[in-house]
Amino acid sequence: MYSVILDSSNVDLLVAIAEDDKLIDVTCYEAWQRQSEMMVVELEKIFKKNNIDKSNIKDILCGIGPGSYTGVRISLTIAKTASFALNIPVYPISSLRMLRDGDKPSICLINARSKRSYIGVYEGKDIILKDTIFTNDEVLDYIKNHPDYSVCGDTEYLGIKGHRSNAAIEMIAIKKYTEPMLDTLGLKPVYLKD
Amino acid sequence: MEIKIKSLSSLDSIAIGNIIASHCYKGLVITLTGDLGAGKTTLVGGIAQGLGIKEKVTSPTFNILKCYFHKPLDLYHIDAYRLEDGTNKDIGLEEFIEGNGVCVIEWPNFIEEMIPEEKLNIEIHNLGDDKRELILTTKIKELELLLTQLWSNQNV
Amino acid sequence: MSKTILAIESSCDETACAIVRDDVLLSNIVSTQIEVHTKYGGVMPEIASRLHAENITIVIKEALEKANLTLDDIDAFAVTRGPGLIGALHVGIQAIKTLSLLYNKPLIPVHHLAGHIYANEYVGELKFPLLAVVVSGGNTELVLMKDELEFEIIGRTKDDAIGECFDKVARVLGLPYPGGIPIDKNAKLGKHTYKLPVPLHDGSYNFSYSGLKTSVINLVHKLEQNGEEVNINDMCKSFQDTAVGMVIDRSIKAAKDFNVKQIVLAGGVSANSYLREEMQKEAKRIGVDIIIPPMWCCTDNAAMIAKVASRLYDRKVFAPLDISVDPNWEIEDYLKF
Repeated sequence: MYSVILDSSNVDLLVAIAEDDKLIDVTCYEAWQRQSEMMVVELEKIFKKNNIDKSNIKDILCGIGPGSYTGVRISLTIAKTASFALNIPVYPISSLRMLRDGDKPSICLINARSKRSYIGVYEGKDIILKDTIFTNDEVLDYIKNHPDYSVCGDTEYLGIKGHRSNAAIEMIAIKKYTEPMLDTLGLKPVYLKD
Repeated sequence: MEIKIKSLSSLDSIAIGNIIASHCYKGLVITLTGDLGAGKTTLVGGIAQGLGIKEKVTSPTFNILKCYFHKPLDLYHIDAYRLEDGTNKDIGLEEFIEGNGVCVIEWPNFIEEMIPEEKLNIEIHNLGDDKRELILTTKIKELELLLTQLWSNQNV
Repeated sequence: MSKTILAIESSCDETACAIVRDDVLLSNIVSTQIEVHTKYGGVMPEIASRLHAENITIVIKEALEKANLTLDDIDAFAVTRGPGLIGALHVGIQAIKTLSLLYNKPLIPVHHLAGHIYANEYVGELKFPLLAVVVSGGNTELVLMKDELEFEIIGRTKDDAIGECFDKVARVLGLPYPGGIPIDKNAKLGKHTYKLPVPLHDGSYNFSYSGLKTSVINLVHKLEQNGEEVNINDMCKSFQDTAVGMVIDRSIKAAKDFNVKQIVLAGGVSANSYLREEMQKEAKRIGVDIIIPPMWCCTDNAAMIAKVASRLYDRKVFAPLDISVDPNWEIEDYLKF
C-alpha cells in the first residue's frame, strides 16, 4: 500500500510515492504558475511508473501552507478529492516544517513579500515556534540569537544561504508526529496573513 | 510627490493612461480611488492600451480579478468592490499584487492589508459632465518623472 | 448507451455539483443552498462563504448521496473551465482532474456561458437558429446560435455588465445587494419620470452600461445638491426601463436581422421581471418563440454545466489532464483548450 505525497505551496511542484514510509519515487521541479496544469499529469506518470491505482493508495501527505495561496489550494484540492473518493486520510503537513534540516533545530523560512517572512522553528518532533509571520528584521534577529540553529528554505531574499531540504523525505518523517485527518471536507489552506 | 491634473473627457483619461503605461514595470502597484462612475475603469483601459494589450478592458467588479496575460508586462486588474464586507478575501489576490506584471486595484480600501506601501495612488474626482480631476501620489522615486511629465503636459 | 455525468461549477461565487443520467437531472447541489449550510453550518462556518471553493468535496458528496450513486457509476467528469475568477476555477479543475485520473474516465471542459444558455433546455426545447441573451453580473452578450453548440458573439458590453450596473445603482439609491431584486420591486411602484440618456446609438448590437451608471449617479447628486428629494421608486423605474430597454432593443433588432426562430434568456439578470415581461411581449410581436428560464436556472449551478457536457460527451470533446483554466475564455472558442 502506498502513500501519495503532494506539495505545490511555493515555486516547486512535488509529487512522490512512499511505500511503508520509505520514499520510492519522486518528481520535483520548478513549476511556478504551472502547477494547476501539471500536478495531476505528474501524478498520472508516477502512478503508471509504479503500478499505482486507486485500489492501493492508503493515505496522502499534503503541504497545507503557508505559501502561495493558489499553489497550496491546488495540492489540497487534489488531496481532499482523493481522500473523499477513496475514503483515505490526509496528513496535513506545514509547508515550513518540510523545509527542515532533519531533526536538527531548524528555522524554516518562506518569503512572504512586503519585507516579511513566514517562519516556523522545529526540532525533531517539537515545535519551537509555531508557523507565523515575522518582519525580515525580526527574522534576522532571531537567526542571530540562535546561531546553532539551521536556517532552512530558499533564503536568498534575506541574503543568506539556507539549507535546502529534500521535502518528500522530510514529509514522510514528519508524518510520524502528524494527526491524520479522515474527514477532510472542511480542510482549508493555512493562510497566516488573515 | 503629488500632482493634480484634469481630464476633460474619457479620451483624455485614456491618453493619460497611455502615458502611465510607458512608466510601468513588473511589480508596480497602482491604486485607484474615486466614487462610482468616476472613470476608474476608463483609465485602466488607457493603461492597457498603452501596454499594447489588444483586449478591451471591462469592469472586473463581478469577477474581482481580470488578468491580461501579455508580453512583456501582464496587467492584473483587481476590483475589490465586492470584498467590502470583509469575508472571502482569501482568494489568492496577493500573487497578482507585486506579481509578474502591473497590478491596478480599484476600491483598494477593502483590501488595504494586501497592498504595499510603495505604490502609485490615483484619486479621481468627478467634476461634472465628462470632467475629472486626478490626484496622483507616490513615494516611488522612479515615478517622479511620470508625474512631472503629466503635470507639464497640462501646465507648460 | 446510458451515460452518467458528474459536473462541477466553481467559476465565481458558487461551488456546485450536479449529476445527470441520460439528460435526467439526478441531483443539483449548490453550496449556498440552505440544506448544505444547515447540515454543516454548525461545525464548519466557513461554508457560508460565497467565494470559498473549500466546499468542493462537500458538494460532490451531497450530489452523489442525493443521486444515490457512487463515483464508480460515473462515466465522465465535467467542469467549468472558464470564464471566471482564476482562483475559483483552479479548484474545480483540480477536483475534476483528480476524479478523472482515479476513475480513468474522460474529462469534459465546459464554457460557463454555454452552460447558462443550455440551462434553458431544462424548461424547453432549443430551436435553431436562436439568439441567446446572456445577461448577468459579469456578462452582457448576445450570442447567435445557428445550430447545436455553434456560438457567435454578435454583441457585447463595451464596459460594465448589466447586473453590475444594477448593483451599483442600487447602492447609490441606498438599496441592498444584489441590486436587481430591490430595483425590480421598487420599479413596479414607480413611474418613468426621470430622463436618462440611452447610451450607444451606433446601430450595433453592443451595449454600454458605464455611462448609464454615471448618469444616474450624477443625477442623484445634482438633485441632492439642489435640495430636491429623489423619488426612489421613480428612479428605479426610469433606470430599469432604460437599462432593460437597451437589452430588448438590441435583442429584437438582432432577432429580426438574423431571422431567428427563438430567443432564450440566460444568466442572473434573466430573473428581472420587467425584462421577462417586455422580452416576451416583443418576441410575440415579431413572431419569435422565447424561453424564459426559471429562477434556479438563472443563477450559477452545475446542472447547466452537465447539460452542455452531455452533448460534448456525445461528440467526444475530452480534455487531457494538463488542461489549464482560462478566466477569459470566449464562448466562440469552446472547443479550444
